[in-house]
Amino acid sequence: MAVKSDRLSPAEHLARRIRDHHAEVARLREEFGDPTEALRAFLRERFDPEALQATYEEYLQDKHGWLDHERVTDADGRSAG
Amino acid sequence: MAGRLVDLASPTTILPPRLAVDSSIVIDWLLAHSPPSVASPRPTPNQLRAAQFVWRMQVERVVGLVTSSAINEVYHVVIKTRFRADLPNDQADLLARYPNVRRHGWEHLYKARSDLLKQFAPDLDRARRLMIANGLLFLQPEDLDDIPSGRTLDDEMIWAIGRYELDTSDAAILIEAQRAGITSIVTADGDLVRARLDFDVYTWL
Repeated sequence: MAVKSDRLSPAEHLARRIRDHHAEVARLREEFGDPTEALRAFLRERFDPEALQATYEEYLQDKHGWLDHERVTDADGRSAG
Repeated sequence: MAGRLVDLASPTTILPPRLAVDSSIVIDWLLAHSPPSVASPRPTPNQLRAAQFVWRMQVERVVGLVTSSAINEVYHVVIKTRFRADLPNDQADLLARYPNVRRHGWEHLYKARSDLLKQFAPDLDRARRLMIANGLLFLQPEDLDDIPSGRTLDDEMIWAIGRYELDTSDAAILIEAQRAGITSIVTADGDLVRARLDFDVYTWL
């Protein structure tokens, strides 16, 4: 059960998280090594560049779209959503 | 108090100790490190700027705060890309569910094979941890104060949409940043420049 007296204000909470963040970054860098190179390797291993580029182009066109329901129709024309 | 428009292309620009990072920066930063594609054999200027900016944040120990609305957009890019890449492997499922569709898109696969999301979860988690390793910090509900105006969130959204002339997602990013006490935002999105009514907007002019 949470102890009310220990409750931090949002500003205090964020300040503490920022302090903890530096330690977390250091820990993850020990795990990943150079974080930029780790990102590059991750994208190379797990993402098809053509698929990523196609997604990016759609993001630039309409970054708020989630599903294009116009395209998702069943054979009889019903929305599949 | 009105904010400022700050040019990141200027060598004299000093970064604040913490600022909100728009999804446009995170997504351009990701793409900057992607292998080349046929359509984009090299990073675009925006992608290079985003990569340099994230690097600069690390060097200067600037905290880049990512709102829940922004991370939503970033995760969506990851999910959509993974579904899209999986399309050739799932033709049988797609034809069974959508026999008369000539060209299946990622949305069809999402509907036909939502179970694939379980397989994508480790990729989302690795992307998340790599963002943290590169200096980004995700805002949590406990970091957010009450809405200063006293309006409810649903009401504040409408107010922000009108004030900044922005769509819902961008308005939500600004409301969340404001509740975290953040008065600066970095973006490559020309629409978000209108946030300078109340925020210092860091961008490339």
